[in-house]
Amino acid sequence: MTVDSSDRLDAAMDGFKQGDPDCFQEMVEHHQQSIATFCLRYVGSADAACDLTQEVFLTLWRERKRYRHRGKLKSFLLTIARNRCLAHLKRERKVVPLRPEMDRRTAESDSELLGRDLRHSIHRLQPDFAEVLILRYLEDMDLQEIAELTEQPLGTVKSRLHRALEQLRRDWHD
Amino acid sequence: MTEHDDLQALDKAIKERIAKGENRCEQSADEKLAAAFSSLRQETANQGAKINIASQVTARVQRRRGILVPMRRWIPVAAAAMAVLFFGQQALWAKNIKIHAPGGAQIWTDGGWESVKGDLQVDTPLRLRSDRDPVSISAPEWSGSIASRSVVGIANEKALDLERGQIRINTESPISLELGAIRATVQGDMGVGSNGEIAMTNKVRAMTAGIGVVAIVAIYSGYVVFSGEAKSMRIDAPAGAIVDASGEVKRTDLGSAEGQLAGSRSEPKGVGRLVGLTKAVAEMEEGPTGGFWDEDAQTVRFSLGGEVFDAQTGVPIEDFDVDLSGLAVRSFDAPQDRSVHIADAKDGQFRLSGLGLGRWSLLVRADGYAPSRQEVTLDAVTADPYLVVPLSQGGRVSGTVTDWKGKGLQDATVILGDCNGKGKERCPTAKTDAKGTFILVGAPEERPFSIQAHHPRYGFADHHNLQLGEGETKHVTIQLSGILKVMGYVYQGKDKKPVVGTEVRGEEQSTRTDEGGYYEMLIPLARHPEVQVVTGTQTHPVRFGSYPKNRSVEPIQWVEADTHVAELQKDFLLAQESAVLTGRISYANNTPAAETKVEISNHMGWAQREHETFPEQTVTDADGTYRIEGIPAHAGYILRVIQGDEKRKLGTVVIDEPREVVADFTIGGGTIRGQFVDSQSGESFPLSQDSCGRFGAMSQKDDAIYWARCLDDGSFEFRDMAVGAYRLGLIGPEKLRVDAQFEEQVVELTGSMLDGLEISVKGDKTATWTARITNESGRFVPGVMLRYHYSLGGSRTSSMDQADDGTVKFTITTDQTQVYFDAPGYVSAELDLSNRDPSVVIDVKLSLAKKR
Repeated sequence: MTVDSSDRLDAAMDGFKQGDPDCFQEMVEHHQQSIATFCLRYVGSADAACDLTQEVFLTLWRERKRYRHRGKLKSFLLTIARNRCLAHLKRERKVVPLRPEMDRRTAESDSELLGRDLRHSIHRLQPDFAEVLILRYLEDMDLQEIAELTEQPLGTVKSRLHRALEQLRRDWHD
Repeated sequence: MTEHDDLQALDKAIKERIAKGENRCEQSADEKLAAAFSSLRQETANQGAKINIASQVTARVQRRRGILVPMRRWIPVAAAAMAVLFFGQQALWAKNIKIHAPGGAQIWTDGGWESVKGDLQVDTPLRLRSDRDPVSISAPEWSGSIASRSVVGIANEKALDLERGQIRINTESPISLELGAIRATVQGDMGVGSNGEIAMTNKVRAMTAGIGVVAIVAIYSGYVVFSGEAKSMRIDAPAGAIVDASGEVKRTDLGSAEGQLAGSRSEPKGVGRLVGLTKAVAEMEEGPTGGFWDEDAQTVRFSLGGEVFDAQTGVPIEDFDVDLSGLAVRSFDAPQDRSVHIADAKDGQFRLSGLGLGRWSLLVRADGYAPSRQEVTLDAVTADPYLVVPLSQGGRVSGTVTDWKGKGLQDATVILGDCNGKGKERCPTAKTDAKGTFILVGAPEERPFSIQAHHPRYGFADHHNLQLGEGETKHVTIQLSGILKVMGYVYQGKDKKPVVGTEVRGEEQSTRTDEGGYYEMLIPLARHPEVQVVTGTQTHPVRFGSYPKNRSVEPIQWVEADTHVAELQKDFLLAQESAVLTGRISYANNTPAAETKVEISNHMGWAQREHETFPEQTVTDADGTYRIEGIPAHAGYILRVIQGDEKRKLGTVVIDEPREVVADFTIGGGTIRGQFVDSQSGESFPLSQDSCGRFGAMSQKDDAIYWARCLDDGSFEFRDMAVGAYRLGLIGPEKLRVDAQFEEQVVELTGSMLDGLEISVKGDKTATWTARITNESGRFVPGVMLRYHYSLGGSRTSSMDQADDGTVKFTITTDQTQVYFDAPGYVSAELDLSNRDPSVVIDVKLSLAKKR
C-alpha cells in the first residue's frame, strides 16, 4: 500500500465514521475482494460469499460508531466475516468449509485437480483444524493473527496446525 | 529430526511454495501438498476477485437511512381483495414462463443455480436471478423484467385456483412490471397479485401502480397491506410520516394523521401513500373475513365465517361442532386438522381463524342432524369465504344387532361411521332395546356412509356402503361375531390331580370345574381374554398368552366361519397346595423359647408361586411351639427368631408336599465342624461359595435344614443345632447345578460340639481370593455382595464377611475369571481375576452411583 492510498483510506475512514456513504463505498471497494475471498474459502459458495460479504460491510456500517481506529481494519472485518461465516454454516447445518461441490464446473487441469484433492482432504478434517489451515495458508495469516482472530491461545493454534498438517500429510502419503 | 521439526519443515515448504505462486506437482507427497495449497489459494482468489458488491452495499446503506419500522398491525382488508400470498424462499410454481436473458441469468433448480443465456421457456418451479444485465420474463397474462442481481420467484399453481400468475420479488434494484393493466415499479421484497391488489412484506422500498389504484411507499422491515376494499386507514407516526391519500400529500411531524382509503374493487379510487421517517403504525379496519398477517407465525392466515341452520325450518342452530381437516394446505406451519366446538352461536354464525392458505374440508355436526361436509379453498381470489351450512335431520336407519346365532342383543351401541376423532359423542348414535333393535336418526342423505355396532361382550362390526335417498329409511341387520370359547382342565400338585368344583371366572360370568377338573365357557372375543381360577380367597390368572407357545394368542384369527366361535384351550395347574409348618423352639438347655417372635421368609420357590406375603411372623406359645397354617408347599423357607433388635437365624425348612412339616430348632445349640478334603489327593479342599451354598445338614428327626459356613481353609461349621442325628450333604434338588459333589455322611450331635469330620469332595479346583473393597475415599462400604456367572448360565450372588477395613475373602472355582462386587448406592465394580495371583490382596474401589 502506498502512502498516498493509505492516507486516502484514513480520510475515507474518518468520512465513513461520520456516515458519509461515498467514503464508505471507498472502504468497501478497498476491502471487498479480500473479505469475499475469505468468505468464499470458508463457505465454499460464491453466492453465499457474496451475500456474507455484503453482511460484513453492512455490519461495519452499523457499527461504525463503535469502531475505534485501533489495530487493522482488516482484522476487524475478518473477525466479523468469520462470525458471519460460522453462523451461515451453522444455519446451513454444514460445518464444512470448502465444500467439494465447488469444483463442479471447473476445468480439470493438473493444478486444479491438485487443488480439488486438497479441498477434499481439508473437507474431511474437523472444522477447527480446517479453519487453521485455511487461515494459515490460504489467508496467509501468521499464527499470532490466527490466535487473535479465532480467540484461541497461541499454543492451541500451534497444536491445531500441527495436528492438521499431520493428518493432511497422512492423507497424502497414503 | 523429530516429527515436530518435520512438520515445521512442511509448514515452511507450503509457505515458500505459496510465496512463489508455483503449483507444479513434484515427486514427494509434501511437495505435492505444498503445490496443492498454492493452487487452491490461487483458484479461490480468482473467484473472490469476481465478487463486486460495492454498489449494492452502498445502495442498501443509503436505503437504510431513515429506517421506518413497522406497522404494528397488518390487518385487514376483505378477503376477496387479498391477491397476494407469501411464500417461503424456495418453493414457487409456474407454467409456461418465457425468459429472455441476453446477458445471462441463473435459474434455481433442484438444489442449485443453473446458468442460462438467451431465450428459453420453463415450467415449475422457478426462481430466476439475473446475472449482469436485466432479464425480461413473461408468462400468460403478465410480463416483467428483472434488474441485475435480482431474484424473482413466480407462482401459478393450480391448487391456488388462480387464473393468473403471482409473483414474488426480492430485488436490490428497481424492477418494472406489467401485470395486465397495471404497471408498477417495485423494489425490495414483496408479493404482487395479478389483479392489482398489493401487499408488501418486509423490506418494501417503493411501489407505484399505473392506474392510480395503489401507491404505498414504505418501509424497510415493516409491512403494509393495501386493498381497494379497505375502508379506512389510520396512521400513527409519532416521529413523522408522509401520507398521500387521493393524491394529496400530508405531512405529519408528530402525532397521528388519518387518511381515508375509500373505494371498492369495482370502482378503485383509494390511494394510500406512506413514507415513514422513523416509525409509523398503520391500522386498518378489519373486513368481515379474510387473510391477516400473523405476527408470531410470520405468515398469512385466513379466517373463515359461516352460518349453520336447520335445512327444513331455516332456524339457526346454535350448538354444533366443526371438524376441519386440511386437504392441501400451503402455509408451512398452519395447524392442519382441528375440531372446534361452538356453543351459543349467535344466529348460527361462526368464525374460525388462523387457517393456512389452501383447501380445507369442513364437517359440521349438530345433535339430531345429519353431518354435513363441505370443502372450501382459502386463497387470495376466492370471494369472501363465508359458508352457508344447512343441516338436515337426515335419513333414518333402523335395524337389529344380533349375536352370531341371530339372537338380538340388548345395549349394543350403533354409531354413524365417518365420525372419528374428537367430538364423537355428537355423532348420531342409538342403543338397541331388549330385542336388539335400534333406530338411528340423522344419517346423511344422498351419499354413502357406514354404521358401526358395538357391544361390550360381543365385539363390534361395521356395515358399509349404506346410501339413503331423501326421506328414505333403511333396515339393516348387524351380526356381532366375537365370541371366544375357552376351555381346559384345572389340576393340582405334581401328580396333576383334577381340581373339582373350583370356580373359573370369565368376563361377567363364571363356571365351575366338573368332576374331571374340566371347564369351558364363552367369553367376549378379545386380544387378551381374562379368565381366572378361584381357590378360596385367591384368584389365579389363566394366561393364554403363552399357549400355545408357538402362537401368541390371536383368537380372532381362528374364528370358524359357521359358528363364529373361536376356541382356546388352557389347562391350569394350581401352583401350590397349602401345608402346615410347625415345630418347637428351645434353648440349648432344652427350656422352651416361649412367647418368642419367629420370622419366616421364603427363599426358594420351586413351585413358582408368588410369595407376596412373606416374610411373615408368628409367636411361639408357652411351650415354645410355633405353627403356621396355609403356607404354600413346594417352597423353601428360612426361620429366624427376633429377640429385641436382634435377628438370629435358626435354620431352614423345605416344604416339598402339602402336609404338616415339623422343624424344631435350638437357640444357641451345638456346633458341628469338619473339613472338606479332595477325594483324590486327600488335601483340604476349600469349597466355592456356590457349592457351600448347597451343602447342608438335614435333621433326621424332622424337616429342619441347616446351612454350613465354609471357610477358606477348607473347613466348615454348622451352628445352633439341636441335639440329634443329621445327614450332611447336598440339599435342594439335584438338577440344580453345583460344581462339586460331596460325600454324604450321617452324624449325630449329642452334646454341644461335634468336631473333626472329614467330607470327601470331588469337584472343580477352587481358589480363594482376598480383596479390600472400599469407596473412593478409602472408607468401608457396607453390604458388598459378590456376583459371578455360572459357567453353565445364570449368575449367583452371595454375601461375604467383611472385615472392618473392607477386606473380604471369597472362594470360587478357578474357571471363574470375572466377578462383580455390588453394593447399594454404588456402581458395580467388575474384577478380572485372570492373570492375578490369589495371594495378593486386590484393591477394589467402588464409586458412588450417580443420582438421577
